[in-house]
Amino acid sequence: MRSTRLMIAAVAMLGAVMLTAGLRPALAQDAPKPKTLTLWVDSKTGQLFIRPGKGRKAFVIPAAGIDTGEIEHHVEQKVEQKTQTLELKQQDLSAELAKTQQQTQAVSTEMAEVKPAWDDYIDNFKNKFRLGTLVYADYRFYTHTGFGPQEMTEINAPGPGNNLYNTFDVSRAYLNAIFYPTEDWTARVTPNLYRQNAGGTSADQNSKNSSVATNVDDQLAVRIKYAYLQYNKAFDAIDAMKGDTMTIGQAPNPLVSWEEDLYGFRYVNLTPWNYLSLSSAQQGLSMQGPVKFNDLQYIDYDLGVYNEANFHQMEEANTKQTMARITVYPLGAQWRFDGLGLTGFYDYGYSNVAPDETTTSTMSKHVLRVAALLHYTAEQWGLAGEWDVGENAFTTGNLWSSSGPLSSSTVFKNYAAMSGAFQNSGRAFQQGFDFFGHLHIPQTPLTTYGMFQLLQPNTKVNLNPNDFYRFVVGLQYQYNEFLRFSFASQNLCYYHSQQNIPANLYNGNPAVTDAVPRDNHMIMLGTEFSY
Amino acid sequence: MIDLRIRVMQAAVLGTAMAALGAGCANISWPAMATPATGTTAQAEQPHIWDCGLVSIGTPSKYACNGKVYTAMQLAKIRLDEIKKYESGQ
Repeated sequence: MRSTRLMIAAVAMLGAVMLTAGLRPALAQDAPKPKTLTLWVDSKTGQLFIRPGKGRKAFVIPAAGIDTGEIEHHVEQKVEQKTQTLELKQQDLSAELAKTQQQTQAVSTEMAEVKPAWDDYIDNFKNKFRLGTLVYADYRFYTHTGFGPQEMTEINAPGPGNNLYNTFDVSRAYLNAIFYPTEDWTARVTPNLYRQNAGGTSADQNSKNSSVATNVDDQLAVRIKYAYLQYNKAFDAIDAMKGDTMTIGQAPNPLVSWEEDLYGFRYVNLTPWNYLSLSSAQQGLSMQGPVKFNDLQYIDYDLGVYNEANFHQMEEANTKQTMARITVYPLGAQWRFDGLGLTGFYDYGYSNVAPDETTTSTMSKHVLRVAALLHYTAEQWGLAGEWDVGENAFTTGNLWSSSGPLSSSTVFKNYAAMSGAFQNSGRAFQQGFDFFGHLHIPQTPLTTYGMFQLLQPNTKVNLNPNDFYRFVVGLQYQYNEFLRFSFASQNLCYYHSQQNIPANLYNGNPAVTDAVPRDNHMIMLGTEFSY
Repeated sequence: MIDLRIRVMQAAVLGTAMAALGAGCANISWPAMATPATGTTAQAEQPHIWDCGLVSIGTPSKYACNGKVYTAMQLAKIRLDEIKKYESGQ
């Protein structure tokens, strides 16, 4: 029984194998060739489709006339052509891409070369140009006002009888633009602000029957303080004078700026000759610099020839003034003012008057200024003494540069005429002396300082009512390297006791009762910003 | 107008008062003097504006310390670098 079943299973398995062996996938190449090709046509549009669909009718193409093999061959050719075309296009695109990459690389290289050139330009510009500023601002409170010279440039206070007058002011705002195009040349342009005084201006006629009101008022305006060219290698052939310069243009004169740095507190008050009459800048030609031996400075000089006019006047004279300062450091100086120094200053010129007025104007006269200083400066302190002599170097215009008698005043009419007779005759001789110094308080940002100046405006007048002294005492707080503040007392004192002046004392002066003017006293809070 | 002797005395009193005020302030810690503590070695070695003599006011201003001339910018950089160093504990 068991062997029969096994026999039947084996036969069945054999039959299944035989049956399946006869079955194999129907391969395309084995299928009978179709006799027809059936497509479907859209009856409305006439489009042919390969599948049936709505609105489509069968479109039978007899296969007897179609060689499908040829169609296949044709299709293969088309496909091959398309493929070749695509391959060519791909090759072109690859070539273009490679070219673009080359160009990009080239541009990158160029940009890399351009950047250093820009950096180089900036570096060069940075090393050849410097911009800075110097600003003085203050608050001043006058316990006593009076006639007198300006304490600061273009700063004016009212005359006597205006006690408690007070004001905020900006008396200086330099914008220093300094150019160093090459090592041997330097150019400087410094605009500065000042307060205009509008007195005496009239309307401007702009046609036969019309005029325009002046707009010159008491505003802060801008003017050029310095504009000069400096040659830095004029004396390089002389070892001791290497670095000395020659300057042409509107530049600092030999004394004022030098003395301002020696004193150190220009933002509080003017130095002696600047206070009296010598402006700080003129247009001219000069040479200056230290003379050094073994790296020590023994001489410092500055001399030149200048217009008679100062920097805010028009030149009218056909003469020129000469100025010279020489400072000797007998012990040698490690830096500009170091140690003991002896200074002599000489200025000789004439009034700034047109040639056709020189024979008629009482202002056409020679002008002489002399200063002799003995000074000692250390890093923590400094002290200087000065003796001043002048001829026709202090007129009533200087005496009253801050405030003077009104021309129509009846109260001060005789006083004004007397002062004019004493100072404006062309034969006025000045003499005075000054002291100034400072002391830094160790381990603090504080420095005390002071100045005393005495002047006899005309030594030919005995007991001249306008003889005066002024003194400044202050305490400075150095906030940092660029900013400092000061609290100071400034005083102008006509030191004679009150007196009457008889007529014809000098140069035909009128008689004056109570001729000695009132003193000026002022408290000041000042600040300097320097960069 | 007022007697010269009185004026001179006023100046002397004012100057003395200011000097005394300044001297009395020597021991105060000044906030603006932002440097390492007074008397430290760091402070003693580096130049500071407060201990320098004025050479010139300009662009830039220059000061002399220990015989050497510095610009205001150089002194500012020295001070600020010193502060950074001090604050970082070096």
